[in-house]
Amino acid sequence: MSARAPRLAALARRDLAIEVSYQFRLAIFLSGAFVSAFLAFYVSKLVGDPESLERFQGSYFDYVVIGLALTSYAGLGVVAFTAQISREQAAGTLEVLLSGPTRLGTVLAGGLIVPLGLTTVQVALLVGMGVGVVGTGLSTRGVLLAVPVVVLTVVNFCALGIISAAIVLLVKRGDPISGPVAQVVLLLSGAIFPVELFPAWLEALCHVNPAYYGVRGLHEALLTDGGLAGLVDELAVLSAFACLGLPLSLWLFSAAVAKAKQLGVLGSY
Amino acid sequence: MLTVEQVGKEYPPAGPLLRMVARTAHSEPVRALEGIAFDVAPGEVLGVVGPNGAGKSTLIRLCTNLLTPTEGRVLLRGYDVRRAPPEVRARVGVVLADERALYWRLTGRQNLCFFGVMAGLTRAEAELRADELLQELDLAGRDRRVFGYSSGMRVRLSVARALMAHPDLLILDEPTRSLDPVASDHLLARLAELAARGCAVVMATHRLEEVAEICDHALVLDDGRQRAHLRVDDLRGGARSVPASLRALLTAELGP
Repeated sequence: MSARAPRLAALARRDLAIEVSYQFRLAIFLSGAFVSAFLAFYVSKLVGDPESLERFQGSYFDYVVIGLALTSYAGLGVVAFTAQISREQAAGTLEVLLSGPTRLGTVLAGGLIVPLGLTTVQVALLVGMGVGVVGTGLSTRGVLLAVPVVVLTVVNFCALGIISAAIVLLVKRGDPISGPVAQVVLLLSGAIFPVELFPAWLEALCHVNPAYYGVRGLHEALLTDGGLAGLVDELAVLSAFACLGLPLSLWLFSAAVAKAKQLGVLGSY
Repeated sequence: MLTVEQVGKEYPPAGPLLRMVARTAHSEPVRALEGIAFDVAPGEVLGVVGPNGAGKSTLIRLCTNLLTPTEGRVLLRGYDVRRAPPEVRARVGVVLADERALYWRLTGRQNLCFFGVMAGLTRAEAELRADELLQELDLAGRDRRVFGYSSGMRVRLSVARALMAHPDLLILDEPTRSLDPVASDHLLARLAELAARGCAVVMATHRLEEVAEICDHALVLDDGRQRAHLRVDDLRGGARSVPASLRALLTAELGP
């Protein structure tokens, strides 16, 4: 076992203990799946099965539930690191952690484990209950195909989240990424409605948005019979975005830490 | 063990963009420390003394790699502190002047176990060590969440955290603040005992009686400058290198 694994486990135990200590918040978080499914169900009754979704075997309900699931993961990637850095700064523990031998990358990665686990439980409830029980059903093959799409989407949004955390490290509050930028990215993803409904110029903009490929990949995996061959394009584009975005975000974060040490604002919040 | 070579720190003015979004960013350079130089050998206790704003906490942050010096360097066992390998950094215990630096939703024991593993102990080692230190620092049997601790208990827990990985260098920023006289004496005795076993200790304080009690050397800071680096015995004797005003203050506090 590498020196990193016990530290990742310790970070996960810490976060789990803290989460469990806020029982009401945990219950609210998990019940969010029921609220989303309820909302999607009645909106789908109003919308029916529009022609633009003919390509997908499911109904609008299935379409939007899967879009919301991906949105949950994308949102996690964007806000998890910023929230972690803000919490550690406010608790005064960031400086203690950084004065020790644990690498910053390990601290960030470890801090993602519990939020990722909780989001997965929430998404499993949403998709399982929504598409699996109320909707047209889920195939094991589709769920397996969805895994790499979700992983690559999370990695892409983690890159965005790490850049957001780098900004928060220096400006403390009001970073633009986890707010307006994330909202635009998700709006242009096709999670709630197909991007083909947009004007041509806006639709073209969606094609440089990794979330668009994540949503499209997840729809392909869970709602069509295309198999792995139907996902090749999405997986390739998501991989390319990840290969560019992740190293860039880590470099920016290291630069932000160095700047914070220079300015003396590492622990302030 | 710790060598500080002509270290200075000037907080640079933030760039215009950062100043625009972070109102707390400096618009002018701020000189916090200048020309600080000293060594701390294994088993030695160095007291960093000076009035508020003298630069004690800045120096502590430079020694723990939480700040980057503008000039000079800090060496930890011969390594520049900014590039010291993890096994060297693991043997440095740090207590910052901030009692928030704990997870208040976790119990004292959970905090110690967490920071122990982060410092490189196995989970089993961290649990054993945590129980030992909770006992030693009179925190055993009260293992509730940290938000229920008194200020003094939090300080003692911070000290326990710093001791988790059996450090051979301890850096403490005002460790006796918030402690009652008995707990303070107990902590100072513990630090003296660690030093006797070879642990180097750097302790920032403005309580001169603490310097007299356990320190071998005193580094006197005033307005970001090193006024003196002396043996505590010399300080009592009134060494000539200490400015008269400071000497009068120190000798009055330290006793003849």
